[in-house]
Amino acid sequence: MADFRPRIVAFLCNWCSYAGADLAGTTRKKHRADVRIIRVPCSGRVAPAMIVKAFEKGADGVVVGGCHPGDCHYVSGNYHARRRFYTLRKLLDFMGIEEERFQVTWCSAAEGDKWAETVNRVCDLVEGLGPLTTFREMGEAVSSEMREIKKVADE
Amino acid sequence: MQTNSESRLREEARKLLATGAVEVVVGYGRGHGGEGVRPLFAKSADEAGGLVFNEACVHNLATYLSKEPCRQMMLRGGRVGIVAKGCDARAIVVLLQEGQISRDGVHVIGMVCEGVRGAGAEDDDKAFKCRGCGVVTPPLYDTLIGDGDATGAAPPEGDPLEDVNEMSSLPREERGDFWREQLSRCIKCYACRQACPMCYCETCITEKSEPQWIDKPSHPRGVLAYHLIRAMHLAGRCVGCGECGRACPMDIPVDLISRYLAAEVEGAFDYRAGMDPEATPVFRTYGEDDPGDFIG
Repeated sequence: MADFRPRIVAFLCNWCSYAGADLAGTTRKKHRADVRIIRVPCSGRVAPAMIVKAFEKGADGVVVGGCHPGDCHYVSGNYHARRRFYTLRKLLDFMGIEEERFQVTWCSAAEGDKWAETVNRVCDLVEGLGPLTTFREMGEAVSSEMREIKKVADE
Repeated sequence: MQTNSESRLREEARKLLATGAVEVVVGYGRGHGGEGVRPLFAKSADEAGGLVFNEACVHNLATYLSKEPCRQMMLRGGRVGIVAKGCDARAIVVLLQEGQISRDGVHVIGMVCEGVRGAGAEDDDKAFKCRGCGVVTPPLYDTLIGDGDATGAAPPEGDPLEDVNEMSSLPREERGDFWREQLSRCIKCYACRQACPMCYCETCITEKSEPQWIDKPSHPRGVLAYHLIRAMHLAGRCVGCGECGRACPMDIPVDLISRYLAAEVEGAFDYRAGMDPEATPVFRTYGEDDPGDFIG
């Protein structure tokens, strides 16, 4: 697994975390380059389906960044999100997917350092877990089945 | 045990239909060839004579309330009568909470229920969902058939979360293997969605193609995503009627996922779906002291 580089998708709140990530850049903070950032209006905008879709399309880890509790631009988006994310993590765990692959962080616009640390932390963590194969294997299970069917049909 | 209830149910339905208080009574009728039961839509006092209520009445009829014919009837100002056990009444409560039906549009004939039989017709065991059921008397009704708690009616014994806990106690890899094996059989027929009283969206996320959240072909690619998204859509709303699992033609225990999440939501947010029409749905609100240890 020496050449495994995790693919991390980050959904960052426009008002805090995205600006925090921007600050990490303008202050020349170094962090791992395995993260792909998607800007969202609020962590409350991040539907569980978006996270599931990211995993399905090949992400090995997902990070959601939102404002600290009490700081939400829309007053309570992050609080609502917290309930959903808690539940989603429980669900992932129940279905046999490492819940650690889905991380949430509260990161303000002033916390460029924290964002850089979070990226490194999550990248290291997911690297340790290895690639997420569950979704892929389900698709492949079928391809092999389809190949069998095709073989029988051809005969 | 329920013959008395049955005659009272018919009498009540007859009265409701004869006086025009409701346009239809959605209930249970004798099944094909006299075996089991199937849903019956009684539209006249005569037809109400065909209503039955016995241990085979496992179906959750609340599913019909949010479907088009009942919806149209209510929009016209008509009332729908519905026969509801405790679990079914919980589903009706959620539909009311979510504004899918109006309180005036529905007349709930609540049935005191001591549990119904499991899915298999020859199976004498009570359905899993009935174990330790907390709603022998429905949480919501306009008419109650049966004397409620006064009769000493009690649910079948047992732990309703036995299978959930068994699953949770397995190592994560084994759980993953289990679900991979189970879900590889899924043909995406969406019977679990159709049977669910809580799945009423006119355009389901599975039908949306822009963006396409769930792969459409009937191969297992996208199956896991579908079941994850489905479970999240039902989190805090599922009343545990078990109809999804019963409807599955591939015998995938889909209800296990929903019942697990319902238990988790109850544990973390102290909320049980469908108990109180006035309660705020759990994901429409928040608590400042919600669990947040997982957030870095």
